[in-house]
Amino acid sequence: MPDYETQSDEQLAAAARDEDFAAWEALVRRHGQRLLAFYSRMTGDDSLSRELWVQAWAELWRLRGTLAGGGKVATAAFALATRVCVKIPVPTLFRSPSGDPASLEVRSARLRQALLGVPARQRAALCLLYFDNLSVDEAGRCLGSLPTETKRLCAEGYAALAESLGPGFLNEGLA
Amino acid sequence: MSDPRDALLFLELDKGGDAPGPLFEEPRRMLERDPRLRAGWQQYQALKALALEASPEPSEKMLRAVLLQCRRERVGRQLARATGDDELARSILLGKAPGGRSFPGWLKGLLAFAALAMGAMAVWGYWLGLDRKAPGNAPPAPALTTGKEEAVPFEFPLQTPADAALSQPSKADQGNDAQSDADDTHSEPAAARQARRILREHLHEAVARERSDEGDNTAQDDTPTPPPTPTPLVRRALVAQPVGLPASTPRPWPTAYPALMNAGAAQAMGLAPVQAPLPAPALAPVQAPLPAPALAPTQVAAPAPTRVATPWAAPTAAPASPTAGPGPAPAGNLDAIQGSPAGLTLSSGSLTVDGSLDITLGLPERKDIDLRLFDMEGHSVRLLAQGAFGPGIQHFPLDARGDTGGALAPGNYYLRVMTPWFSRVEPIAIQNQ
Repeated sequence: MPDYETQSDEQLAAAARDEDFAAWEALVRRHGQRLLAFYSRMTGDDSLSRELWVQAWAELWRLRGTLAGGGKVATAAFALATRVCVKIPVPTLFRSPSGDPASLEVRSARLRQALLGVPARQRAALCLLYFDNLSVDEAGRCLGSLPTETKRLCAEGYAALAESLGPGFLNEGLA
Repeated sequence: MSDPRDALLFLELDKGGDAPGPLFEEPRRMLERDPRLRAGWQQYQALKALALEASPEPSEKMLRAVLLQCRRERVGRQLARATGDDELARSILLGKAPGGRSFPGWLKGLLAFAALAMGAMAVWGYWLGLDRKAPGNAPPAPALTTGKEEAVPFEFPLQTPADAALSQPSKADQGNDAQSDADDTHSEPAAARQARRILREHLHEAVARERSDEGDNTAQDDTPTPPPTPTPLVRRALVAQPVGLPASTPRPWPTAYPALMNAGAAQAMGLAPVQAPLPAPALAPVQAPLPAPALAPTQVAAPAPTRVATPWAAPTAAPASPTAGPGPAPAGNLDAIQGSPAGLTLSSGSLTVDGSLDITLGLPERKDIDLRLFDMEGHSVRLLAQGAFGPGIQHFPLDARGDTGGALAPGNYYLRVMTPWFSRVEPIAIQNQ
């Protein structure tokens, strides 16, 4: 049995094209966490993000022939997710997180709320470049924009996020 | 107020700050000089770390769902390859009817309308049946002795003489009668064989009489008469007249009572071959009961007090016939039974173990009759009358006792009247009270 952990994305995609489900599972495990985080930040809904995550990988399975042809798996997955998420309306009502303001749960909830207040394309650029560490070229391919436009969108998004959180966000609750 | 330019600087440092060369030298120096930028850069890195720490993890269940969908897609592709139709393969995979092969909307509507119409007709017919059986809507029955009686519809298959003539054996078959009788010995009871023999004799008489009547008519009337068309086996409603039962009294027997009688019993009673063999065509449809007289229950030749519109007077039920029967008309004002071979009337459809039942039999002429009571197994349990009786209304009281004098068990019985040209069976229930 081949060691899928050491194989590249292209090798795994080529194996998946030949209907190797184990190779495909390795690909899903490798990029699944980043993609799910992207869905979660973009939609603000955990259950919806899980459902979209499953559908995205099922769709990528149908497109595995193009992935094996040189397309990068991560770029294809994030491009698919971006096209879907920018069309999803974000929830407008939030439940204020309760508990210790210095706890990870409260801080992450506040960060998520602030992120959902950012416009969709800026939010997508911010998530792709800032949180998910895609390159500017990859993020531009997902957004369908040039690198300079992509960086501008990301910078504007970050400024809006920082303004929403406030200057003392990181120090709140800390002694 | 956050500045997008600062954010762009942080982004540049984030994406290429580790790259060698002089490209990011100036940004790094700016961060070291400006404490505001340094604080912003620290916040930039801290927010990123916080977001990564709070990222959700896909569960194994989600992973299995992905793999399941992938396998399903593969099966669907194989199905599409096998069927040559993507839509059909998708429909099979989803367990749905193929969309392209479903009924169009207007056809579905038409089918739904037809189903509704059939249901409404069924309900309507059922309701009419209930309405017909309702006491308030029942047609008034002729009065016999007391009050109003309820007509009891009773269906019995009849066979016209033409049918009987058509169904009688040919000459070649008649030549084998002896052999067939010998064969029948092994399969038929003696009573059934005797009934068949009597029936056959009278059928021959009826055919001969019919032919002679046709000859007379031809001689008297030059107008061509249409050839007699054989009437198929028909069902006609016989109406028994239970007397003394209130209208609301439930009938002790089901409507299709003879159908419940087992074949062995019917054969033992001689009923299987006897499908009301009437001697003349004019008498075939006359199967209505005698209007009940309102007089004392002895042998009466007096007329019934009221004339009753009998069913056999209807043109569809009885074709016009100048002759009422094979014999002379009964004496007195018994025109109500003229045209009827016999009228059998029960005073009630049920008999209690300690009561009695008045059986009225109207005869248009003197004939031999045989009146018996049979149980459900076809055994003769009571002989009420046997022999020749004159024209008029005969009364035969029946109590719940057999020929041996013992009491009959409560249950269902059959009363059979049999003449050489007529036979009828009526159900009787013997009840405890």
